[in-house]
Amino acid sequence: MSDYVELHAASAFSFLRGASLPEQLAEAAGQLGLPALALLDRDGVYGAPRLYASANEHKIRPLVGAEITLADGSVLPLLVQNRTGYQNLCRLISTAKLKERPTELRPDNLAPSEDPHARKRRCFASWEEIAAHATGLIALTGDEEGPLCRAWQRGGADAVATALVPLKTIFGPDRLHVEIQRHRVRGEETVVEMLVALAARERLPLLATGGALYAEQSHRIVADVFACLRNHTTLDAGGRLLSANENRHLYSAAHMQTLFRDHPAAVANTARLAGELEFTLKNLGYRFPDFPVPSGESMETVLHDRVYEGARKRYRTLMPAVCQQIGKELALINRLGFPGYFLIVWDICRWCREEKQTLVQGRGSAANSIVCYALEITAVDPIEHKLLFERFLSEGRQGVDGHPSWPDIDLDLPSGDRREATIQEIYQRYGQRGAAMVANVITYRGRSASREVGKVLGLADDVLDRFSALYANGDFPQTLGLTEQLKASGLSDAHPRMPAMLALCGHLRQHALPRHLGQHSGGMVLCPGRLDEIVPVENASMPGRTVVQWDKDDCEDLGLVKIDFLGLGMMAVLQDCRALCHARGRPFELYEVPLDDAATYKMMQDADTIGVFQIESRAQMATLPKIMPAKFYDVVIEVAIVRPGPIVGQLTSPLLRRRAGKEKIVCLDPEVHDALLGTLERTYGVVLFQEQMLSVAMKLAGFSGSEAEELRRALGFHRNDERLKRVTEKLRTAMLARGHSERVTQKVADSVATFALYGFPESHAFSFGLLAYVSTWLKVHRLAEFYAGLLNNQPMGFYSPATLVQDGRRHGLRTKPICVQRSDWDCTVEDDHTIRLGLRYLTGLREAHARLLLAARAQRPFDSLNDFLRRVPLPAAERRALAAVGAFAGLTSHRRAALWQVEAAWSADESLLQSVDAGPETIPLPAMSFVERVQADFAGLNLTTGPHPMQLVRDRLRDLWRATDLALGRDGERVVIGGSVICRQRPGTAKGVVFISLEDETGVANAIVRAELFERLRMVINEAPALRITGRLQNQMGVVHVQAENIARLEIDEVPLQASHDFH
Amino acid sequence: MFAVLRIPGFALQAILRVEPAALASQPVVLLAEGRRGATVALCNDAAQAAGVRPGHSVPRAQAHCPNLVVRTAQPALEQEAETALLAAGFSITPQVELTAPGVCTLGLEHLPSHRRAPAVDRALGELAALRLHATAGFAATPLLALYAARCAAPGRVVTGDRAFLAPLPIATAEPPADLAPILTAWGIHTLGQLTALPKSDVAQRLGREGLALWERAAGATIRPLNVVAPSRDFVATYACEHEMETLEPLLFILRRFVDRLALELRNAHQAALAVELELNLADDTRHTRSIRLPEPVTNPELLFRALQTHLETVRTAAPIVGVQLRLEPGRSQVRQQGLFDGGLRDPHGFADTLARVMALVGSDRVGRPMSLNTHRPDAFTLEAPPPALAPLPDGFTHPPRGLALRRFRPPAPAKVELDGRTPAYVWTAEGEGAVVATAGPWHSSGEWWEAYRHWQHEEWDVEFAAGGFYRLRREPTGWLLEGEYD
Repeated sequence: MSDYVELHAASAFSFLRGASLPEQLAEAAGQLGLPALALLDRDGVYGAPRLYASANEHKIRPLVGAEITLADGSVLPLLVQNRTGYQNLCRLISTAKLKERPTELRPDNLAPSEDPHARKRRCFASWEEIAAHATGLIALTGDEEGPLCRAWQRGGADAVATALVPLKTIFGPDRLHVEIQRHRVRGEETVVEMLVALAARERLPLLATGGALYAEQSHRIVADVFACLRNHTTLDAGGRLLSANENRHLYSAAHMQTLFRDHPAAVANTARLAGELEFTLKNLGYRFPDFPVPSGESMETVLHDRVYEGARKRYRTLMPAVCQQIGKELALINRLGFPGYFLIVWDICRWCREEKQTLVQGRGSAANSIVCYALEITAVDPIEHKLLFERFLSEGRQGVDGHPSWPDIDLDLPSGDRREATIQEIYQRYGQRGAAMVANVITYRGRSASREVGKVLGLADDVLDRFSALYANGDFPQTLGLTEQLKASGLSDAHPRMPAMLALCGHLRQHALPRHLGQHSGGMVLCPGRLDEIVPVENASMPGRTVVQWDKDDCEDLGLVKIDFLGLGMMAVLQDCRALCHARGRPFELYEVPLDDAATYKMMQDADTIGVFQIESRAQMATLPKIMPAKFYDVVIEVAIVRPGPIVGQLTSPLLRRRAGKEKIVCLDPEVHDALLGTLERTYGVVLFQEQMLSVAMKLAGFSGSEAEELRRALGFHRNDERLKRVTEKLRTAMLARGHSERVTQKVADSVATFALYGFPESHAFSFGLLAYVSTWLKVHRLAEFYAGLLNNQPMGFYSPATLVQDGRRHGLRTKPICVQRSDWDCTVEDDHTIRLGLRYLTGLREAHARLLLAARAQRPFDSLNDFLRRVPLPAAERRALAAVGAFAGLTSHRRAALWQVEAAWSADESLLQSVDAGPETIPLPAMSFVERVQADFAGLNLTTGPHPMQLVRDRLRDLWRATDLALGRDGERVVIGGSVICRQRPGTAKGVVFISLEDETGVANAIVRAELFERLRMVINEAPALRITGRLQNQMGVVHVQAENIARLEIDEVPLQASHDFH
Repeated sequence: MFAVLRIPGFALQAILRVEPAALASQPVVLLAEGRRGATVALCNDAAQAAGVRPGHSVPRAQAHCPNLVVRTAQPALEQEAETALLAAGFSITPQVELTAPGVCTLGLEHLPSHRRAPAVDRALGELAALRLHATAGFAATPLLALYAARCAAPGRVVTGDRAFLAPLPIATAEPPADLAPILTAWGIHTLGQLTALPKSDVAQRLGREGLALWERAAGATIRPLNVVAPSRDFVATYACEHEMETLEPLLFILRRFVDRLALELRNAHQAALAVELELNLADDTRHTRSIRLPEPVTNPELLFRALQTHLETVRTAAPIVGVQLRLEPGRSQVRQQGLFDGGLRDPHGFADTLARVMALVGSDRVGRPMSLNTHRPDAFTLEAPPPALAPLPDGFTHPPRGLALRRFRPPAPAKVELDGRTPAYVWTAEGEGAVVATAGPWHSSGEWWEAYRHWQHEEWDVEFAAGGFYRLRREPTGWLLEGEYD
């Protein structure tokens, strides 16, 4: 065994200090032959699970610790000796992060502008708190930021003696080590001599450490960049804030023995101390909370009863197949010890539905389980749709190091307040330190990261602007190489900082170093006792939320159960729509919507899907007429196929051709067609779903259940590609060993790579497909309620409210304008074909003031404008806004009359005169023209309930084809289209092609712009609110596009237009 | 009677007048920083013809006009143009008010009516010679004269108030920002539409500001002029936004300075005895030059030629970041040397001599050495001496500094024999010796981000057998004996 163990290393989870990932430290430690490595990140154990996960592979023991910031700004390194120590460390960090501090207690390094009470303030621990949590922890005196060195710099030997007192008092001579480091920096020897003398005088053991901030020398450049970011400066101005040299990396035992040959005991002590540190994350001690059951019952019996009760409600008659599946699932759930988990999720769903009247639906692999269906956690019947339960739960599922891997249950809730209420209910049930959000580690990977690096390097803003603009958006992968991207940004090869920019961006892109901790979109972990003894908990930026220091993969690896509470705008729409339908006597339930409605499929086939879930995008609408959905599974395929994964993997075209009978169905390859027919038949031989991918791996490579689980987790692991590469290689090796050809092996490997690009699991596609289907069904059968729900939950989806109103209009829905006598805060349904715009749409009107208006109206209707002004004391700007959009119609002769009258309203300090009701007044202002009314609508509402603005100028645009007429044109015919730009989209998968949607009074016309044309006319295309596009009509299989040849501004400045939703 | 001289698009014209004339024919806009980033504040005719409008974002403006030239405001140039405008005003009358940026109002009561229009025409000509294109309006009140100047091309006399005012856009009366949208919503677009509304109703609705606006729209405001005094100091100053590295842009600016100062001299009935030029350079140095003229002149051509001749022989060590030009005024050739003149007779000449020294040894070798904020050993820069030495900082630092090092400048190249990795014997041009004790190595490196400036050092402290402590430095190119410890 080596005589040296590095006991003071920091990873990049010491945010903006450490420059290497825990995995890189583990790999370097393994290569250097170190038997163990202690990761001491600043105020956290953020990186501990990742070191733990990679430690096995590199044959090192992953030791746990942390650097704790003290009130004076110095930093105390603590090592965990045993589980008690770990629990104390977690609680100490949680206290330091969560406890409110009195104003006078400020850390020295807190800038005057920083609020010590802020939720994300700099954290620090007091000596009393350290003393209260010291059991099981070992203290080091620290490096140049440690309490002793800081005291030495500040006040010499006397100050050091004073600083040592609390350390010795708390930890005693047996749990305090004097730490010495040598980084080959001039002047450090004086400090070493001081510390050596101190150790001898105080009879404390010496400990040599490397104080590693990165795994290898080459990572020093990242540490310097981080130092600049931390200090808000540039490399040129960084000066002595930067590191003096590149010596803060991991060292071998031999090197340390040479470096400290004058103090050999200091090196030897590291191995001795490491031997005393018995704790690793294997001993975490986490278990999921139990579900409280009545006495005499067990969780198993309660779950059994709930499931059968629910199944009878769902199926009415329990067929043998249903009973058999329920029995099988319950047996497995009980065997694995999971009944409490299902009951807890069931109870949350029940609480949402019954106590908060909130719609909730499980997504993800839970849709494969009849237990979840019966418990009303999910809405898709797994028996009817032949979903594979084993994808959800099997006995082979294990996390890292044998930790049990719990099944995923993700719940979709209406976005906004209703989801937040559910999250707060969980906090209520389990306590602030018993439940917390899962972290989301924001990494240095995207455009903002490169931009920050560029700024630190002192590159010009215009170069960085162009560099940022060349990143792909959203889910789409970045396809442009780094060098090309930098060149296209205007950074020449000869630029003296080009190599540094390339090295840094390359490093950050490849390794995705953490930048800061965010919170997961909805994942929560629960614990029966104190969660802050399992993992430190800290405040999230959002009030009322706390977050653990680990992300979802770390939690999954260590066996922590996560439940996702995800917010979906469409769920909010469905909930509102359902409430409106119930109130109007046309009730429906999500799971009762008939899945064989011809009119619904007809709307999909016509790609008439603006406003509906998922299948409303331009790409989806272009695929719908080719898929021609006629049954529910077609919708499932539709939802899954227009994704970056299948598009990049070129699965879309073969599937469409085979579905249309234009191509023979081959399951992956003729060589394995027969073997895979059962798996891939439903998707025409194409590997479309993750479940199919796993099944292919099991059939062709002989993967076991746990190996398939490893593959599944690698597919969902976006942190870096290493895990996926390893499992793909394993798959290839196994397939070749089983005699499959290189061609087939490569095809399977390609499919795996494709799935890493956001492929869908089939069960997830079922859940989303159901939402897509139900929302389309509502658009067909509950038009008014559906649009009211949509308009009340903006922003969401692909289109702006202005487009939704125009789309409703084309479907026979009349949207009435805002009226103080009629409108509520939300949009309301007046009859089956009429909705009334809600006050929420009036820009500048505060909700509290609108509620005053509604309260006054509830007492009695307004009988005149003066009556309104007297009874509703609104600020002038809000009165004016109401008048401008015609909300006083009925109370005045026209909008300008209202505008004239509201300005004459007496102010609050002239209340005596308010009782004087002015008599009829002559209005000296003319009524608004039609165009002026539309302009006022757009100014106040961002939409108009009247005709589309294009209709106002149609007479002078006779050469333009209307959107609705394009379907009548010949394929290849040259046409000119024009309208307001409602969407510009440049997906990373489309090789620079841009898709533009133009709206006119008849609908939406789509144009395709070649990359070359786009680059030539980029400014016009991106900036003009309305465009005139000349091009060839493509009218094939019901999909109509214009292949643009020329693009110009459409000069219709006299009419207002909506803003475009852009994705480029 | 009042006249108003107005320079439309003042801030933009102030910039364009010091740029090559060809630029004025290209589409040019001036940007203003807004809440949502930079937007077009002013645009010239060419830009307007291409569809660019104030308020457009830069990308939108470029969508209209791909070859758009973009400029940002330069207060120094605006100040200069404003002084030129005042000078033009003073060429007509001493009753000059600086009403707003690019607008001055002139009181013409004392001027016979038949001389008013020719005088204003001459002033417009003077401004055109200064490359400022202005308009002029005449009216019975300063306000009406301003309105007249706004719609003049280039001059307009207003007599019948109502007919003139009614069609003017409401913006002419400069409505306050909070009232403008109300008027737009009311459909009020002209002054006539506003004054058609009952004054009392407007006052009731729009308050005191509305009432004032109504009165401005009616052109009824009468006020005294806030007269400014003509400058007696013939100075022009400009702090450049971008460093000037060539002579051409400097000459453009100096030409405008000379034109304006010559006009001011003429207004004051004086002539220039000498020209004093000061160039502020990027390295915090200055180039100054006083050119004594053979005889007093007001002719801008002669003045400019003197400057041009001098500048063609000047090579500055750093780009120019500021310019100051001063004309020494005088009335005649009769001038006497000061009785008590002492010290440097020609400080500008001394500065000129220093500049010549700098040209010989390099700008980085003149000044006071200051240590740089870097780990790089012995890194320093040269700064101009401060007016007073700063006090030493308080505070106690540990560890205290070690022995003082006498640096060899330049360090002596050395050959070093190693024992393992440790220096054992050292040769230099001055001598050689065995090393008996060492400390180190100390590593330092930096500026890795700069392809041509990165550095890496290894330092050793050594004691020679013959006595003496020295510092050795190892660079990628070899060993150096860096200095001796006291």
